Amino acid sequence: MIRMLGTFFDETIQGRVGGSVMALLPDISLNPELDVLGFYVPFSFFIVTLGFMLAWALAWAMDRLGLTRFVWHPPLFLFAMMVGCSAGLGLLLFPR
Amino acid sequence: MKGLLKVVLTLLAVVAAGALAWRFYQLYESHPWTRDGQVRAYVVGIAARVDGPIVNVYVRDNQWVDEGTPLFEIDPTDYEKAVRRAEAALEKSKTVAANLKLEVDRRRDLVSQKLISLETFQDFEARYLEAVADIAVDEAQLELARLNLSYTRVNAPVSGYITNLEVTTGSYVTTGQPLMALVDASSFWISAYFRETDLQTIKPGDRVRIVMMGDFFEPFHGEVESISWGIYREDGASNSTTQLPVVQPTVDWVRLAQRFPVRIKPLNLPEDIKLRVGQTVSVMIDPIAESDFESKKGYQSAGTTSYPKQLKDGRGAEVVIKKKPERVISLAPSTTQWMRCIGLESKLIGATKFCELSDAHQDIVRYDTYPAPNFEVVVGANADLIITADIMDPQHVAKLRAFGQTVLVLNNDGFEGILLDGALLGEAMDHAAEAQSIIADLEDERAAVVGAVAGRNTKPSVLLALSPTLEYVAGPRSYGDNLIQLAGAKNVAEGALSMWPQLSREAIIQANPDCIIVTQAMPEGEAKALADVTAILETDPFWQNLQAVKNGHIYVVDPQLLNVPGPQIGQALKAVHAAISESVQSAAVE
Repeated sequence: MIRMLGTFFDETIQGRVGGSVMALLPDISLNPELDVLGFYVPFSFFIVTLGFMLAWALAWAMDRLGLTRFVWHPPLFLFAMMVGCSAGLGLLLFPR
Repeated sequence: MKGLLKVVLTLLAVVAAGALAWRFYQLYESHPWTRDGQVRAYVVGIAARVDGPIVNVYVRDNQWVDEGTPLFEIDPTDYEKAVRRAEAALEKSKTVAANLKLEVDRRRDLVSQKLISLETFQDFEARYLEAVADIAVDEAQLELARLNLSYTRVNAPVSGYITNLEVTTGSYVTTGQPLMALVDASSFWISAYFRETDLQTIKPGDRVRIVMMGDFFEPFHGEVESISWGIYREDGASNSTTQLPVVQPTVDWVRLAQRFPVRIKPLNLPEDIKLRVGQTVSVMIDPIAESDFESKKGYQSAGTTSYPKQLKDGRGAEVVIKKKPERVISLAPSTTQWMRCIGLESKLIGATKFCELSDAHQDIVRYDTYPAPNFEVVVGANADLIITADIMDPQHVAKLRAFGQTVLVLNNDGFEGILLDGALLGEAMDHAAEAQSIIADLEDERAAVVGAVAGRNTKPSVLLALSPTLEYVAGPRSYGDNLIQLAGAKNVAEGALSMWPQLSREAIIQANPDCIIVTQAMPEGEAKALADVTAILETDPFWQNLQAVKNGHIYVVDPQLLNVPGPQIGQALKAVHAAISESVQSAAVE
């Protein structure tokens, strides 16, 4: 799974997003497409799925901690989290 | 108050999500990618050039072969016999010609004493000339028979992989029948088919990330070489039966972007990745910044001088120069002259006995080249590159190549050919700039001469002979002939049969040239040489009657200039031009 998530390669191409943060992490960029048991999934499908799952987990955690009372419109907030998480993961894991 | 905080926090989350999504969209859009990529390479179709059963197949399917490796052999017996027959025919026509020459010589005195008629003599002379022409025909036949024999062994034209080998010993093959494919290993590239909407962001030099299907965890990099300028489009193609255009019915709001091939050169291919023609690859473009683009271009132009370098030599053979040559053997005086001219004399480790070298390099190895070079010694010298000229027998070149030597043949074909030779050698030696400056000088010199003769209203006839006895003269297509024509004159031997023909005395007297140029060594200066030549011509019973001898239009040229078709051609042209224009001027005075 770790191998599927990212690969270590080519130090010559520097991270484009958050260079200083990226320098601390191993290079975890994805490939433009991923082979999931013979289904060739494009990169964006993968990060959207991951982003939604992450947003869901965050929302669940906020609910448990009682932080949802600071939210005005829970469905809108959840949607924004899903979009934000997906886009953030996409920027982080973009193939390079 | 709390209500307002709730609204602000939620909207902040929305704005942050929107900003991230926008940045992601920009990143995604600036990196076009496609799964529709393919590994491509030039595939050489191997076919036989002669018919016959295969007696030996030296390769196995999917095997690596180096350039020049024998692939298979067709039964040579028939072709060996054909060579022997052609040899015998040549022998026969030589005998016939020798006999006729004796007959002509015998009758030459008789006709001058008017004992036989001129008609009879000329008949014999014509028959002799015919027999000489027959020798040339038979020589060509023999050459052809030898070529056919050599075609029975088929060698790999490039280095690469044999694929789809479907013949075996005993198969009867016919000329042109495809027998196997050879994938040129030096030519692999990747064609990625990008949508036309992506093409604006792609430019040559862009870095490319490539992953092969089934090998996702080993991406490698490439570089965009070029973008295709056209694809075939079905709409508008003519229907073959009615000549009307075929147009597909499409819905206006569903629009499919066309895809165009983008040609990508793989860079630093990992050792364990094996490219095979037709493999599927995914390609993502990583556009380089505009500022990087300039430095990239510098890198690219440096790339063209990198080795291995593939060049087409003067005889049309593809020569691969593996690394920058440091040890060079020159097997022709003209190539030695070129090497000196472009400042590379120090790279020479060997030359021929006839090559002129500067005093500092007199001690390099000298080779015999006639009748054949000593192959063991030349190969043993372990040169990076052997350069030679058209004087070298193609079979000797083939033999050197079979020994694994890199041989570059220059072809010395007239003024233009010599300029091309210089460019080729400059390219091979990574001294293109020096070669180009010499070429520019030579072009200037030629333009000066051509300009000087352009306004001349007479076209003097010129005979260029190798000795004062006028035995061998510059014939059509020879180096001397080219110079005469550039100097605005007419070569009297332009209709002769060979490049350096032996004209009959009658033919020369008939032509009665306006000007005679003789190549004569000048150890004691030009005046002495000219006096010697004039004395010989004026005392000759035949030549003293020539108009040029009577009028004193005799000129001498240093044979070194005319015998070596190298970069001294500029001086040679000047010398010939000086002689011809002097004769034209003095003729005008008379």
